[in-house]
Amino acid sequence: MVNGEQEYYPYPLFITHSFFSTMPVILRPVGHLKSYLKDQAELVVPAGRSIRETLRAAGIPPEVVALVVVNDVHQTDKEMVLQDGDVVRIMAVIGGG
Amino acid sequence: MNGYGGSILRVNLSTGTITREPTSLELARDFIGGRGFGIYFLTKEVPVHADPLGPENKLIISNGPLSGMLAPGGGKCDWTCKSPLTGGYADASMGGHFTAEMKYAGLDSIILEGQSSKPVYLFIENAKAELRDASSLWGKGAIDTEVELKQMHGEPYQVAAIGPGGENQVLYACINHDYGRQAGRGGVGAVMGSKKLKAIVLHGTNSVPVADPEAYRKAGMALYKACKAADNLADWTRYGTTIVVSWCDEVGALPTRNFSAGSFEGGKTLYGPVMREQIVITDKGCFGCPCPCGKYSNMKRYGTRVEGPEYETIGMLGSDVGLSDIQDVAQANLLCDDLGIDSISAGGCISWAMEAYEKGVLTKEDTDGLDLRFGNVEAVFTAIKKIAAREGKLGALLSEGSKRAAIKVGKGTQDYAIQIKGMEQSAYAIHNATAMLISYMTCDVGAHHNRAWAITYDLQVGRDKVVPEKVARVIWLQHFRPMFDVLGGCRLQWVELGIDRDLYVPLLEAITGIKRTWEDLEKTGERIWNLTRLYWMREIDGFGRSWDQPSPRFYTEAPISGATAGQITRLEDVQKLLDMYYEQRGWDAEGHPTSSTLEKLDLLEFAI
Repeated sequence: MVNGEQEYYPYPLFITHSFFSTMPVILRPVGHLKSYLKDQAELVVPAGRSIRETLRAAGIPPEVVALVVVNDVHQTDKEMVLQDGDVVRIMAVIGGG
Repeated sequence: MNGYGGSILRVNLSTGTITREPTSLELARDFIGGRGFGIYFLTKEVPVHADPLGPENKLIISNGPLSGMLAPGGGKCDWTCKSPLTGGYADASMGGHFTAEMKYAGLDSIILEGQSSKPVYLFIENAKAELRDASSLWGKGAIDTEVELKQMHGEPYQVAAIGPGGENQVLYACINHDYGRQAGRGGVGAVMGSKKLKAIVLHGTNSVPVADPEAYRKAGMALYKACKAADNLADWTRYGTTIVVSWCDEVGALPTRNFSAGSFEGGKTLYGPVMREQIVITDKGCFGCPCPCGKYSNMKRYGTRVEGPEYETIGMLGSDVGLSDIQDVAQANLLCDDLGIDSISAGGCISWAMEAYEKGVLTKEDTDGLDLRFGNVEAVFTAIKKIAAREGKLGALLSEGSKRAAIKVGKGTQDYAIQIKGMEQSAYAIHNATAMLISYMTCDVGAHHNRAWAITYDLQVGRDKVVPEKVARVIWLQHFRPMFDVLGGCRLQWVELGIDRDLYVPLLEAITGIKRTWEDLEKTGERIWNLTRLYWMREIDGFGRSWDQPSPRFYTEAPISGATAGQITRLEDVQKLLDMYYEQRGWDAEGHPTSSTLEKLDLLEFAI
């Protein structure tokens, strides 16, 4: 976070792809978490950081993210380092049943 | 009467008299349905200080204008009575298909009063209603009873039944339906058992009038489309409420060994994906549900199947009693369902006894020889069976709930009976989560999460903050969320799929012909909230601030491990939260609504 702004900007995928030498990570919030990205469908972020660091950098408090699905596999360890081309779906719990 | 069945069925179990009366327009206007009808009838009809397990108490089943309609999750009804567990107000919401058939039989409420001298079941088919002999069913499990009654009457007939726990009037006995849905909390099953009513079987085929059929169709479809379009629908359907287990473990909200911590070292094997992979065989939803949260599971080790476990049961009969194998938890779930006891309270009582046993306060002499250590799966199964049967010293002790048990045992055990108002706390550990803490403290049935759930909000705002905004948020939730229990619908579509709640407004208007905004509905929610408070004051001498206190565990003992290790809410902050809550509600320092508050809410006629 720099001056309260997101470190990554939700540029359209076709633009941001060209900024990276390798396949970037796509962060895809669903449900209520979209409000953290001003209702953007997804965010393109660099690989090589943990899920926790990636969320922080995107302005999303890691602790409010209840479900992390990396490439369609549920991931409970937020210290896992994201790799090139990973697609990460994240979801929060608002109501608690 | 648009959106309503149009009548109230009154069943006197003492005399066998069954009558129908028209649903009052004023009642529908002022209290709408569900728990609104429930608290109205409870307040008006049940005598002050009635014995909860005596003939004067009534069990009131009510649906609402969304029940059985083209509305996502319109499969909910509400069971209201004076609670034998707490001595105050109780209501329990039940999903499934019962409520739709109830409305199609022309019924908005069923009021069960009196007590039968022999076991009976209530049979309803449209205008026909009669009490039938249930002697051959008495003693059977709730699931076996449902199977038998369906075989007898046919698959379209919906069944709600008690198990031995209800027959034996375990103070937290539940009512089962659809092989795995419950009216679970507060002892509604014990009240049904006290009336010797084993089951209700019903079937309805009538249509329900709506004010504007075309607008109704459009508004209903708009809601379904919103649910289907939700980008988290697939995740919710895949995991249901078990989606939160891993997260609760991570943030310290997973009750562990009688709430002594909020993270469980064996938690990973209880996580939703593990359960999905190991035991879930299919998804199961209620009437009209586009996002079935129920998971039907196969426990190969035991050769059994169950609907569940959902999050609460994983918390209370898993980590809170020290079990880490999902098959064991699912089997404990099945035992509770079939024997007819609330799995939340059962887990709370057993974990309390386990702590007392490990501390040497309870011995094998008290536990009928049971080695009641945390993590002993056979001890958990045996304890559940003993509770339902009220068998032996342990069954007798724990069947009364943890508050009474701790008073009886003494020796400091009251400090770790995790309950509020006598109801065992549901499965969210609240070490240093102040919004959720005040939510539990002030919930109008006891320590239950369904009125206001605010843990994510705690994390967003700062979990230790004690600020008016948190209290205001909880109060808003207490008015808003229970409105789904008034309307006869499920809140999960809004709560978790995040669909726009304003989509309900045109639907409700098209059904009933009455335009209500959410602001209007929340006002009704506030009236009901104050009315339930007045009911507690009416029934319990000296009811007030002391009844809103949490378990001392959350302000005296910080967890030594897990995400909330070393964290605690100070007692002065607990009281500060309560002061802010009372002030914002317009209640006095004892938590009693002031006369000006009652006047503002047009509730003076109910003043104590």
